[in-house]
Amino acid sequence: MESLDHNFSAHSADRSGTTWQMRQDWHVTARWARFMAIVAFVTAGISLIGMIGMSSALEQMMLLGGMDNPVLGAMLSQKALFAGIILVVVGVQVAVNLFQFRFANRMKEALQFTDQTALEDAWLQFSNFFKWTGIMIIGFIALYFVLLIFLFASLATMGG
Amino acid sequence: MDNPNQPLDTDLPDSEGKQSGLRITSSIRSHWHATSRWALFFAVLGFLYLGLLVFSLLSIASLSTGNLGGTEVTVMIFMLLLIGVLVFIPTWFMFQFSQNIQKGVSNNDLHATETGFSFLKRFYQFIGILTVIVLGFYALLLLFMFIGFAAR
Repeated sequence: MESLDHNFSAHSADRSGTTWQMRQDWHVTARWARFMAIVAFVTAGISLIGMIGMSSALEQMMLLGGMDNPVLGAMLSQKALFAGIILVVVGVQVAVNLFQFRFANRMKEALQFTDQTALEDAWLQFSNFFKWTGIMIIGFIALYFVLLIFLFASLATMGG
Repeated sequence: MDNPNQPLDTDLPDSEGKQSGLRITSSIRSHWHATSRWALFFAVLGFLYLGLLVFSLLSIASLSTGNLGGTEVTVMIFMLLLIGVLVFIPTWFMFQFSQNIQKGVSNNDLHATETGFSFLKRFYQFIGILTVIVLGFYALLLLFMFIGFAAR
């Protein structure tokens, strides 16, 4: 016969409660998650500024004597495409990290004010952060393989 | 082992016998379950990447008798080993988080859940500290660039 208190720990909550150690770990996790989200937002901002600056830099390089440079010419002609790709990547990065930022804020609220609703919302945001990061990674891997296939197909066509 | 800084009555019920504070509800458990599955996916990707690194290491080692010099090969092997360590540590933490949370949610095991979140904390601490170091390097690099431009 199972002992009635075999899972009882004198210093931990019942099975549906949180323990002090858990809350401490969540507090530290939330602080680092907030930091990582802010770094991601700043990186996205710098990427956008870099994208604007890159276009001007390429045009300057062409004027300074690269008029017959095929690579520079190709990059300038596809300026809109590159800008679009960078915008999409930056947009996805910001959207995904917004979940992480919300998780950090809601967890801080939950722990500070013992707010059950904030705690549930925090874990929902964290779950969404992991889910959309995973979907983004799958998308990038698929895109990578598609580009590889196109590259090999182009090389095969050129060689043939 | 109990943390000596933890208040003595932190986890005890209040005078009415109710457990005050935050509770783990079924919706929170379902979020944890979903999160742990994605965490396992990230860990598997990390281990796959490590496998590719090992393959690269073996390829470089076999090329060492070819065109590459001894110093170059040593540097490349050292860099790959460093990258391997830096990838392995957070991948391992993510894997342990996933396994412990899945065990904690499936078996209603509070200890496993605690362990899982401990690994998640360590994962974030590692990635955060690594990010700070990399940002520091970038800042130093920018500083040297500005000093170089100013000196001209």
